[in-house]
Amino acid sequence: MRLCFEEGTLVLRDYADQEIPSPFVWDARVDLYRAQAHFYRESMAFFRARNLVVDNAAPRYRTLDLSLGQTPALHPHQRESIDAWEQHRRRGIVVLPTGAGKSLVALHAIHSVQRSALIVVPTIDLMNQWYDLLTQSFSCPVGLLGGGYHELAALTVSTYDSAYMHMERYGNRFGLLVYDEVHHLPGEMYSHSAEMSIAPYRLGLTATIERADGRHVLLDALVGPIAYEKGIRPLSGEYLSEYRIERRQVDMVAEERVAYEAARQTYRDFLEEKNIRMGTQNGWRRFVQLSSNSSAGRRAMLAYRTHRQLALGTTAKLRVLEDIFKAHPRDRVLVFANDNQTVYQIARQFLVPAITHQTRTKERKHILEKFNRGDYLALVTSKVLNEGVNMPEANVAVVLSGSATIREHVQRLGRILRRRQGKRAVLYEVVSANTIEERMSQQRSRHEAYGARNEDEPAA
Amino acid sequence: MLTSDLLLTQSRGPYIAPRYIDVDDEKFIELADGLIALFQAHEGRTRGQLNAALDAHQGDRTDYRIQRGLNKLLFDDHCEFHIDGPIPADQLRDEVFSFARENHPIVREPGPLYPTTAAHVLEHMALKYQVSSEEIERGLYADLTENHLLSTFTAPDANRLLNRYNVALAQAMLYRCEILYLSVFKNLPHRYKQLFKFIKFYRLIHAIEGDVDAGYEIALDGPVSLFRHSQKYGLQMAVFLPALLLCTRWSMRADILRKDGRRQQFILDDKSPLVSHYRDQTLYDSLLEETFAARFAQSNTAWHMERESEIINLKETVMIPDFTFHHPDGRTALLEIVGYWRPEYLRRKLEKLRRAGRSDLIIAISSRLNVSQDDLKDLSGEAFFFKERIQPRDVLACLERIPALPAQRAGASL
Repeated sequence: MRLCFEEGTLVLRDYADQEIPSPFVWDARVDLYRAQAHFYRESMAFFRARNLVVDNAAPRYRTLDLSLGQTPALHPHQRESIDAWEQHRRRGIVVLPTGAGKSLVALHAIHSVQRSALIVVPTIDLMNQWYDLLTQSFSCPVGLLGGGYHELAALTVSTYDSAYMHMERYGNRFGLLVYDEVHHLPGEMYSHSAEMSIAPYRLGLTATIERADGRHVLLDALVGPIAYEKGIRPLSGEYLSEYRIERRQVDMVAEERVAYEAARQTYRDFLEEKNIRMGTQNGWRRFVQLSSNSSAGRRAMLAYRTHRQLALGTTAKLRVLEDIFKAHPRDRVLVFANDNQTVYQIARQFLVPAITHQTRTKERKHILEKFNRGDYLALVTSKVLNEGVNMPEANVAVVLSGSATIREHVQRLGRILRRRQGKRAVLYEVVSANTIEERMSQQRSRHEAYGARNEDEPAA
Repeated sequence: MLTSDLLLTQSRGPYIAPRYIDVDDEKFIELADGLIALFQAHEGRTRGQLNAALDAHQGDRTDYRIQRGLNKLLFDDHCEFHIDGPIPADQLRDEVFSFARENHPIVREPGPLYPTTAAHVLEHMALKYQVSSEEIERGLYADLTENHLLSTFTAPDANRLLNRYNVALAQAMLYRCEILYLSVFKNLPHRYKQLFKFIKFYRLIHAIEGDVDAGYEIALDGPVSLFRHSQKYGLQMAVFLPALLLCTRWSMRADILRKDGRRQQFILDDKSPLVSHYRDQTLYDSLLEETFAARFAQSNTAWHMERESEIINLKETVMIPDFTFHHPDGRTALLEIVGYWRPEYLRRKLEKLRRAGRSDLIIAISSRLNVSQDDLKDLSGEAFFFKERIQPRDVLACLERIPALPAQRAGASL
């Protein structure tokens, strides 16, 4: 009997009535026993326990001889994470806040397993950053899968999208899977990548494991249980920088205010006429429905979008931004804006580099390096830098606009919290007064990290 | 192809279907012509300008989603863009931002502490490169997609675009397909062959039920479909669809998982007006076959020949013989032509013939191929060699050696 990896599954070839592990089921379409690839470790344990002779043709990953180069000393919480993960038979999830050094935990895990490894990340930026980190830490070739690259090596970095697309081909090439920001994994599509891989060893990293859709419960089967967890407050000050938050309210410039009120009136009139209440669950759905049925509805929808866009009050905010730049002429300032249009408007007005999803790998790397060296003092970006991009030198963050999601906001905050001696970080939040944006700001502040300002819960 | 958000559907009970447009409707022809004209008028201008014009064209019209779909197809299949600027944009940015950094922060109104405005920096660069500061400003982000210039637009005619749009809708529907059931009935062998070539090419797995007289039901999905409902193969099914449209007698049922978790069926058959844009690549095969068919029809024999083929399911692949023969006494036989194959394909072909294990299978092998009698020794049926054309008398000689069969056909349940 031969155990083979085929298209993201395990199949038994030359089968002759032997005892087989329970994950295998008969596939009448091709007359073979087949199992999901992630049952590889369990299946091998089954064969071994019964002393069954199986020609194991499935794995094509290698044992490595990696030595970990110069890396920072481990903090206690990092040491504990690695120990806990190893005790969970090298299958499990480590939950630590952004900035607490999850990447270092992963490096030690890779070193501990010594097998070909795939590191899966949500964005191209993170892919580039992991590429740099792995190249620096281990002297071995590092491959890339995604963002226009398609090359495998002993250590390979991939996006979630590419892992989903290609795991049916490469699912037997890795002995270790590292999922960065592992809360992305349980999605309907992405979960395939964990199921189509035979990797016996798996590590998941995240700051917030919960998903609104509740699918995080699947992580246990896909990666393993939570092996270690520590929240943001216990670490602040000791291992992260101290930080303070300054909120700036701006009044829209007169022309924008006029246009804002006009657009608001247009869509509100339509809602009133059709008797739609936006607060209710069906309200939004009905609005979308009606807006595609008539020209009046279509105009109302366009007005609604315009008013959302104007609520951001970009013109007035850019004046505040200029003041912040003037107040921090020698600091390293990161500016976040919600949409690319504003990002490029800022880049053109202040002649500072921008990073968006359109920025290519080489230039992105170049900009980040220059920013960290101080050859650029400011950097403006949209959502793409939200998760875990390493910028130890940044000490001022300006949130000019953003969606109402909490995770995004905390991650932005985490950006400037990398620990450095004597560093004191400032987070500016610039909000348009008397617009819907005020409510979005309140929503995104509702998190443990903003404990002192949270009205719903007592401060920690 | 379209993105999922451009798919327009209608539901009725357990069924869901794309909202096709009537390609002969003046309203749509006019719309298509209008969009094509807009694209044409923007040759030499930026993608951003074209997008703005297309948005303005949509205005408050309620058919904006159809327009976006048509635009997507025009962008993807008919446009070429290029980047234009005084010097490479990334190089220009590096210089501009580095120069600006020395004068940071750049301000709107020059003051005693911070005297530099953006205009100062641009003028400085313009002087250095001997161009206008407007060109510097334009060149700064010339590489952004929205600033790319439309260099050539090859206009399709409206009818072609509208047909392509309908097929694209059906394809987009299949993105969310978990399993695809095809019913095919008495197609010509080269149609079946083409169909299975595509099934294999798009790495779908088939399960087949039925026979040549009743027709076949083929279920298509992928390896992991065995364990969980999966839309992983939806994209493969979508690109496969135009190949199905080339078949002559078929119907299709697709199980669609909607975003809200409901399951509905998408049904399509050969009476649908959808027009495949895939090239029908069966001409060569059929030439050899047609010559033979014409010659066989002239020969004097009780054997009756049919081109509608049987599908022999070999599980991981299929075999589709080129001709079926019926004798009034109930005997039947199949003819497979092994024409022009490269060595590695030939090896697999012979392996397939062995696995088929049918004693009623006659194999005609081109003498141009490097095949000896030795290679054929454990094949279960009859075999002969041919040079340029297949001679009916060679086939008849084989047919006469076919023994009378009991009621059920050997190997039919393989």
